[in-house]
Amino acid sequence: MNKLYFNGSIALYGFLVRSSGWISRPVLMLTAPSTGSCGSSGGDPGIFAPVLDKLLPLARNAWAFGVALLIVIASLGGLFFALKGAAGASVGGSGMTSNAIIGMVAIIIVVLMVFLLLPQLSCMLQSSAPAAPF
Amino acid sequence: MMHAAQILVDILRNAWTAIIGLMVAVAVLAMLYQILKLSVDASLGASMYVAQAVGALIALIIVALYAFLAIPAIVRAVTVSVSISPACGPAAELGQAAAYVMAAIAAVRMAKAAFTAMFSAMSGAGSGMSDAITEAGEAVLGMLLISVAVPVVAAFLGAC
Repeated sequence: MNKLYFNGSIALYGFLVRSSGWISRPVLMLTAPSTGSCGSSGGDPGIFAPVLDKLLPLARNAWAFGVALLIVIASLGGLFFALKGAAGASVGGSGMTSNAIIGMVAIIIVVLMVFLLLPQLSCMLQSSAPAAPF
Repeated sequence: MMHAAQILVDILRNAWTAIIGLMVAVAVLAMLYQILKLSVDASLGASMYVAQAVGALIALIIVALYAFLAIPAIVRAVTVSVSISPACGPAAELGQAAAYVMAAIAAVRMAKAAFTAMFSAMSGAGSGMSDAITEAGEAVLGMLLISVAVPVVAAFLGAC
């Protein structure tokens, strides 16, 4: 499963690099929230450490895959809205054009949420992870 | 007896740490999933699904905050409130050890229930959160019953 996610994210990444060239692997990895840059107040997992060592890299790969997928979806959505806006402008449909502009702004906000808000939320969760209360 | 209880509590403490660590990873991935859903719905112009995704995102944050802030507070409060009279001798020691282990088990059960609630919130099923709260109620009630039952049993056996 781990290999599957990893291969999936690598394939998607390769597709993105070949098709556009404006995204790089460091961008995906930098946005990964579980790189250990946030302080964690949790304790030692002890005998469960091997399980976490298996699962956390899988989650990290899933994160990279999800971010890459989001970029593809946002690009396609942006292209769709650009086409819609252009079509609206061509035929004089001001409502269609304004809808397209609003949609594109919404997509930009969603993508910014992923790149700015989610890592901060993740840091907040990691730093507020409680130690065992017993 | 106390040594055996301590070993058990150490294992439960490790389980707590592992569950909380996994919960952070699952919460972040679930939020990413909801944002992916949100972006697809925004691209298609499906405003109702966008609202659902935003609601699920907020629910995930609430479940995570419940797990990280409320569960430790509940466990600490119940552990402090369970006190057995020191006049009961070995029975009191046994009761203290049992209460200590039960608090640890209750904490891990509540963390597991919150973990399940997080999966439910991720998939949009509403029953997970109520299950988590029911689990917390059961754990608190069980510990309070133990705090009443142990002195009664000790008195019945003539230990006090």
